[in-house]
Amino acid sequence: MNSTAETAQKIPDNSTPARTGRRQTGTDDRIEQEINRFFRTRGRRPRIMLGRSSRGDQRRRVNQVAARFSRYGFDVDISPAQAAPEQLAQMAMENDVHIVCLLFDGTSARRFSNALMDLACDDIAVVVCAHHTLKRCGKDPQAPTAADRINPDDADDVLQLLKEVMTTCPKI
Amino acid sequence: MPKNLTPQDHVEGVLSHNRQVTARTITLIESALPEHRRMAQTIINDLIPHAGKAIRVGVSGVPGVGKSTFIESLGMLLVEKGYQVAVLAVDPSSSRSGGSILGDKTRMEKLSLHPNAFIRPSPSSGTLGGVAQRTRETMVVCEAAGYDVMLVETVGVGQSETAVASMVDLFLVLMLAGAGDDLQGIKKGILEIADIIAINKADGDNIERAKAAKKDYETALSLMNPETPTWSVPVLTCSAMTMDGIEDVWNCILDHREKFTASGELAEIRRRQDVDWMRSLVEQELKDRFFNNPQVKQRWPEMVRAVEKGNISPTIAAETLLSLGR
Repeated sequence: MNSTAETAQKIPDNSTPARTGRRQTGTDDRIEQEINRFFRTRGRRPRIMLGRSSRGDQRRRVNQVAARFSRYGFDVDISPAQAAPEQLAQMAMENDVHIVCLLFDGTSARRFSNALMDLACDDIAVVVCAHHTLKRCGKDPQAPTAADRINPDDADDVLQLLKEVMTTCPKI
Repeated sequence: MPKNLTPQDHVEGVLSHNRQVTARTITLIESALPEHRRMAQTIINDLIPHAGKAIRVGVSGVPGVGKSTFIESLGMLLVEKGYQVAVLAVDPSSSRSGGSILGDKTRMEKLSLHPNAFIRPSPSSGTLGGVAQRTRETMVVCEAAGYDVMLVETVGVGQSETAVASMVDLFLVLMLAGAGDDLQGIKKGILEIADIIAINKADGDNIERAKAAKKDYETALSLMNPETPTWSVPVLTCSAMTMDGIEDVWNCILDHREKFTASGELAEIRRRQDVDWMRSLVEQELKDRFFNNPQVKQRWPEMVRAVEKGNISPTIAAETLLSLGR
């Protein structure tokens, strides 16, 4: 049951996601273009899951990162706080996300990457959120994962991530 | 995991309860690409004969009523009883700007990690066929994958409730005590659609108020004619936090199912819903065909401008466009 009001206002153009109001919320044109390209070829927005490791990572910060990504145009999943890395991997698989952004690093992050491999989900991109959250909850800063760090506030970082995902992730 | 699954792979994967394939199939349903859509349709067709055995429950309530916590509690009760539970969400708040934040799992911490539960939050924007359509299809996939209870969550705003009511066996409405204070606050529409009313957050010093609210709702309901002699809408109190009364809600759902199966009404509801489904598919297809018509696409902007400037009346503009779309 689609609302007729929606179609009445504007001819629905399924080739790009609607972007009314995006200007006010502030994003980067290059990111917007890349997301539109993603949407046209994949049939959905890039979907990213924020992986939390504990209740210790402040909820507000997690929400900020989530809001940031959603403003860029990502669909954002937020994991439960107390999930083991293996459970996070399972969840990433079930939500069929393209990217997992870990809010932790170190041993847990490596366990997560291994769990993804075990599930044969090697097409999911894994990045680590380079932010002060990490400093606080990173238990083993000496042993970071091989995953790239990404600053969600840095448009260049996000753009690069998007471009990588465009080339690596399957069509669906 | 092969990158590209054939429709046959999808069907076999779903039927063998493979969670990863099930997830991919749902992605296909969510996709906005016409070729994905067509593939999804063939898969759904093959899965339909394996679906239909689940108990389909719609859960609604205003924001803040505790829907997610309620679903977490009810869901946990059910998985512990050995049920396989799928949680779907119909969210009409299509975030037109940017992507969606799909936070469901954070508020269903235990359930989302349970192996007998499948929670798949779906983004609301950008899909073909509308959210309700997609939820129906996702339900077929989950049922074919062996999930035997569907909890379809929706926020308490008009249209989405009607949409969900047209795909579930029973509609559970969560209420709060003291939210509307008097009967003015009780929306008549909600009472008409509800099969069970549960007043949530009946815990601590809220218990007395919940009991009072229960009486109010019962009075309001007694003024309405029951839709069927089989069922008069019960009002329960529960607390998703303390788990008090959650079991009663489930027993009530089972009671409803038993009575409606015996009276044949369940089968009738499902038949009516199938007709509904067909109708909305036809409507959707007509709409798509019209808006994808090249001539319509071409003339649309011009007509919009003309109507905006007042050069042409909306009715004539519509007629012109419709004649092109034939």
